[in-house]
Amino acid sequence: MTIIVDPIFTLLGLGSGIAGLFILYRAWLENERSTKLLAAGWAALLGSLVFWIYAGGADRGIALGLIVICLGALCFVGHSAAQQPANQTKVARKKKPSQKPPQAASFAQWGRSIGIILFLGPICGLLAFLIAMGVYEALDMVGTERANSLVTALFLFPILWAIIVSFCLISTRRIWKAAVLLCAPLLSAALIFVGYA
Amino acid sequence: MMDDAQKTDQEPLAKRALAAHHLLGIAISAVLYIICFSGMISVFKEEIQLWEQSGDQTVSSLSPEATQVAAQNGMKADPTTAHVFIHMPTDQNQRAIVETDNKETYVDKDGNLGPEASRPWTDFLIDLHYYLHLPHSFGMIVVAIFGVFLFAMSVTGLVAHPNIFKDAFAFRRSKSEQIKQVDLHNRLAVWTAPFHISNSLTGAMIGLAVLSAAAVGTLKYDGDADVVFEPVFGAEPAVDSAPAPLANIAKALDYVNSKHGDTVPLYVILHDPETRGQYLQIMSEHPRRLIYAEKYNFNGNGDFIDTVGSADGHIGQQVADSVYKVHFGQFGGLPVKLAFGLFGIALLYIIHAGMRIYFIKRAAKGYAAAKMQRGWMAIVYGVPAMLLATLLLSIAMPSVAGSLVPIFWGGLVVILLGSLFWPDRTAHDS
Repeated sequence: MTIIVDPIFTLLGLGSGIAGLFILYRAWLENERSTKLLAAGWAALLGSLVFWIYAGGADRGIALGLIVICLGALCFVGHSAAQQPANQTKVARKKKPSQKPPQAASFAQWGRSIGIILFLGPICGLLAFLIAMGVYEALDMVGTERANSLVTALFLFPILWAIIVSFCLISTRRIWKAAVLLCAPLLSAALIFVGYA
Repeated sequence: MMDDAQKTDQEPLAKRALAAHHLLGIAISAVLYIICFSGMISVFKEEIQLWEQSGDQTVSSLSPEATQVAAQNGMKADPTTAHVFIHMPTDQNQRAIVETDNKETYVDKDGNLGPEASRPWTDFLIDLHYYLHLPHSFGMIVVAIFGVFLFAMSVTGLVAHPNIFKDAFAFRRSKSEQIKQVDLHNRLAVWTAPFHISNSLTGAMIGLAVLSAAAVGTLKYDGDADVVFEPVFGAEPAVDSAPAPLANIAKALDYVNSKHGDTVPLYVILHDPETRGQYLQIMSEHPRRLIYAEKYNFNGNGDFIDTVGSADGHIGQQVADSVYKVHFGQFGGLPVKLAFGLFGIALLYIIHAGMRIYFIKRAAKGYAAAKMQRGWMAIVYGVPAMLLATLLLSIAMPSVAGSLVPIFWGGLVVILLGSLFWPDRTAHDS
């Protein structure tokens, strides 16, 4: 498939995207935060995506617009880098450790690592799966089209899994962890049970 | 993890997120690198296939009548097949192929069968990216889990970066090696986020859909997982095995060409051919959409029945049908593929820079992980080296084409083991 786009709207999308990136580049270079500049930059990027919708189709146009914006932004990063001389120095390795070097892993540490892997892998996955299936049942119960509820659940599963993994690794409050990791799957299990029954 | 709670309770969110980001990165980078590298090359799989098949006959177009002849010839060659797929030639892939359950054969412009289709290296590459060369149903889930963890890396990375917008264009090239690597890692990650987030999620969704379908099938449809996807991809009609003439494919193609001339037929799929219950689908691409193709359904006489709804059905159908093109950058010809290739390289560098930052920090603290670093570099250079080696071998010695998998993994293991015994000279500045 060749790239099929409307040339006028493509140019408008390109222009608006580059302008938006330039404005944001300038705004983020300033020490003082300029709300107007930031708003103008984001508005131009949003406008660019609208032009791309007309240029390349509703869903496909947005995807094309995002690609162009990403590539443009990387050019600005490259420009920013080119403004400075490269530092060729290599990383110095300290002669003596400033901290206690890591010891060879004990059985307890290995066990703990395996526990973490099992928790973040199968257990978090199972919890995410339960919640996604609960959402599927809930959507089914309120009369959502099967195709929509199924695809929502299919996408929710990996998203929830990643969020639960991140939450478990970041959060330090056991009470919060317990609340989220127990309540959400229990609620989902109840929904699945009601749907199945 | 749990015991660290007291120790890290007072640490700011960003610092805890960074610690989580590090932990995930160290755990998954090596396998993720292999999946991403093979994925980056897989974006160009059509071009590689064409190159692998460069000696074979090209077909710029296949008329409806020639398509009918091709299907008849395919049935003669494999009379017991339950499906006939005809890969229609397009501007990008000027090959016509008849595929049955047991054979895949080129056809010429008149529908006559040619040599059997063979593209061993592309198949090897796709098998690596989709399944890591593991048994398919298991490998697909394993790869999907790495997609989940790549997305988790994006989440923790974004949370760990409170000045994400303020620093969006900062690249302090004149600073220390660690700062350079951190800036490069962060800038590439932020500005390619739409790519790696959409790719990790679509990849994970594709792989985990098998698990979800099995569960929904068990809960809702007496264990029949195939029924689960019917609301999205449509249902096959009831089987009627009574013999019948081959479906009128030419008439169906004429219908699509006349009524939907703005679309491009990609595949003709005939289910249960030469039976009274045979069922014909023509998958036709909508060039201005992200959907892979709309499926136009016909009966055995070639009469139009309906469409599945990928183009104008429920939003869930349209989203599900868009997953493939979004994952592989197949929605804008070579320019989009090149952009995806560039984003793929950026993702590989993000992974590599993340590991470099880890090694630099360890070296600066006085306990460089020299062996681990050499092992990492063995993966970084070993994967492309072994992919190139397998490609060259498949061309130069077609007889080893069936052994590409053990050659790749065996070679990678040798490179990895070799790196561990290599003298420690460049560990800190690789």
